[in-house]
Amino acid sequence: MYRDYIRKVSFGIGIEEDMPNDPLDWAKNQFDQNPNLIWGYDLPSLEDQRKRYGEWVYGDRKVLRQKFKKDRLKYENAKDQLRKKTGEKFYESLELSIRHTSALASKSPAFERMWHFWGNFFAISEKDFLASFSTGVYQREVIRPNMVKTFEDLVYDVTTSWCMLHHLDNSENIGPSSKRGISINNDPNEKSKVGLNENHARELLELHTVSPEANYSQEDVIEMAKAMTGWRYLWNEKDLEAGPIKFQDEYHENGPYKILNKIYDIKDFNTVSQGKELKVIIKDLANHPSTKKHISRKLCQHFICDDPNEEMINVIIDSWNKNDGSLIEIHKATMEVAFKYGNDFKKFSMPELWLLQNAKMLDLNYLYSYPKGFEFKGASPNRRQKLLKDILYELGHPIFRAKQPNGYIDLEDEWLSPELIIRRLASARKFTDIANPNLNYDNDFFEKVIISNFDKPEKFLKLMDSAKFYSDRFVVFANYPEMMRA
Amino acid sequence: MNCTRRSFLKGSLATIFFSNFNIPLHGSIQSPKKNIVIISLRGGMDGLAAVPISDPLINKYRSELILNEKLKIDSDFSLHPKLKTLHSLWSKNLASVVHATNIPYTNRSHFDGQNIMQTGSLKAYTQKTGWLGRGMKSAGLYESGLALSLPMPLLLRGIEKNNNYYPTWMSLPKREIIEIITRAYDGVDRDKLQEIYNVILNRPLTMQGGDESLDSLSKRTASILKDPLGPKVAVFDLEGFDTHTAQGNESGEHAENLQDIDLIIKNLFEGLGSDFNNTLIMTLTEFGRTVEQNGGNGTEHGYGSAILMAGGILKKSQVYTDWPGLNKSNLFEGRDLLSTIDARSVYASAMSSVFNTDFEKIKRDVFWNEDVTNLSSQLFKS
Repeated sequence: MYRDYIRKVSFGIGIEEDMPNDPLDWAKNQFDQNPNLIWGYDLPSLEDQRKRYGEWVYGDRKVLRQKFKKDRLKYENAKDQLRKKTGEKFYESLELSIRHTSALASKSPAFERMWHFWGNFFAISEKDFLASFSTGVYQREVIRPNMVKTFEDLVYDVTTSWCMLHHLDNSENIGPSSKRGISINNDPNEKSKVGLNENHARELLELHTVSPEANYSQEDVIEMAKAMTGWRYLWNEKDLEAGPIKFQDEYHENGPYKILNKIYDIKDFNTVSQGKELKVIIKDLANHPSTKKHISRKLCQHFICDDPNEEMINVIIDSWNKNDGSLIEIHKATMEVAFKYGNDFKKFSMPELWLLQNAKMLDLNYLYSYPKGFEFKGASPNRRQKLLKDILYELGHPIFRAKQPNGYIDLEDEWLSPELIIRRLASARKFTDIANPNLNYDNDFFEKVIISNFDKPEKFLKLMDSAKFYSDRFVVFANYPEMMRA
Repeated sequence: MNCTRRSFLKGSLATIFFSNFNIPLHGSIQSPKKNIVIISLRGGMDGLAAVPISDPLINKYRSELILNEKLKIDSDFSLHPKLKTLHSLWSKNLASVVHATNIPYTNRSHFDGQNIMQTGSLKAYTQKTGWLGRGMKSAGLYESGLALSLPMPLLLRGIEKNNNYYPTWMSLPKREIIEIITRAYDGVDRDKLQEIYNVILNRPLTMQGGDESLDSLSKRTASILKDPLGPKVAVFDLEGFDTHTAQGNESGEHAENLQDIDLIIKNLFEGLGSDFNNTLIMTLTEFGRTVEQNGGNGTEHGYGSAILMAGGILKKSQVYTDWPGLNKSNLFEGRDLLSTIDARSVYASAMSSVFNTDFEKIKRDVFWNEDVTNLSSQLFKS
């Protein structure tokens, strides 16, 4: 199993590429460094995007709605101008293009696959305008640099990021006995009362760390929520909820907190200031046995099969234990276990991966000015620039718009429905529109692609012979069973 | 295009997507055809907002969420003002509510809860099929399921050859090409992908065109359900009920979500015509929400909620409940509306009535003989 393995952990072998001598070494060696994204222009920063988000939300909600409250048409026009100015329609396409350009041109495609995994694991689901402005840059700036650190570092940075705090309402999570909590709740002019909001605390436990297997109680969730109070944006008139994140003591519910049977008391921490209690708690959560099992299982589930067994999962847990949660080593162990079991277990590819694999093997070109990129000049994206976003939408996999905070479910049954398969058949038919005009997609071409990407190509080659016409070859190739599962 | 049994029987209403040689084996004409429509409400629907009770205690718990306008349905309960169609059906004995009910799940996780609300199991992630799919299998209803969403919801899994409808502007390749792809599965035991290609090859013409707006989807659903040989079981998937912040009252996020439920009921009522009398619409959610509002004028994950129902299979209009009360001591863990009726009893009874299948058989085949109660005679026409 060599060529099948390349498809299992990356995007396949491109038409100009050679087969690596040792595929396992090739894969493992990709995780020591965080490779640069492949993009010809400056990348927008999270800070830029937070500000643009604020400008759009503030400008629309507070300024334009007030200014044009009697003239619907003028309001719509002004809103459209603001949309173009802030790039409300632009950045999602830009970020998707950065993601795909890097995936397809990367010398470390297995690293890119792993980045995609973590982006979905720590999903920002579709809420407010996060997908339009910041989810892409969150994956670049918060998740990616941590992939060469520890899992604990990754969870902490994700948890205290503006995107996740906003996504899971932690700014609404206010200590009822905190200074601000008391003053708001005692103010007869304040109509709204404040208190705890459990949303982020619950997902931190359930999705991001220990999982329900740890048997935490409702009381644990409440205590976790208390510990998280004060982690919120710094409010100002201009940015509203898009201000920078700063721990604010006046919103914080003091401890001690009891979480999963352990007491966390600020008095016990010499070096930690309030708010950083969260760091101490996350350290324990990130290294909890249930977390190791939960994450290792998810990794196996992504690369190997829907129902990974204990033997597979334990390979990753062992590496975790030996290397103190180093993600570099966890990723390498994942590559090993995928290599070991890859012959016997196949994994259904979610639509984006399926698109990337077809693009890589067939040299499809749906990226505007590939591989150089494009930049924001204060307008909406053109048709070609937003093509990728449209394709992903049609395939049922708009990456930054998962419906719920657990991201896209990585199980075959979630992706098997007549409509979802119709989308793949219909999209493959349109691959002719994005095929490389300099290539001749005849039977010989497909034969070469199949031989370089499949360990056992005979049956596939025979079936391809039945596809006589140009567009038919793309449809049969892309929907062949082994292109749907790797 | 070849004339098939479907198109032959029904003329232009229901013909086949492709020219087709396969004649459906199932779908004998049953008179009258009965339909069941489930509307999944993801996020946890606030039963106390949808079907508020007249109880002065509620003002203390949730002052920001109180409804000033309500649609009264009996001396104790009202409907949310956005549930206009449901209210208009109430006087015709075509609408009903089960209150203070939920699936037996109390741990307040969306994902475990949504898994359990669909599998009907007591433990999350232990089952790969849904209670509705198993119920259809128990009743022998093959090729009868229709999901109005891109994925096939877990709820409908457990029986082969279900369809879904969620339109795209793109067009399919030729039939011959799909047949070539299915040949790749020759000699393979049973592959779920291959089965899907077969469903696609046999798709009725009613399942194309339209757009993915809820208005269009629900209107199409009415016409698909009207086909006497078409699907009998439809599932809608609505999201956004997880209102942790700014839940709203007469208007706002939760109100808009309720309006979506009402739109589906309205379009089915208008589109099905007399067939509405043989139809049952019911909601499904993973949990209710806390009685008390939280720091962000929203509500947290709770337990007991309500099931909204409409259609001619209902026995009468009623709020069927064993009301637990809103005193702190009556609340589940001092915070949630208690569930006093296992929602699985309601769904099992509904399937027994709609599928004309013995309740004991449903209880055995679908709910592993667990403790579900037959409420058919109280809630539904047999």
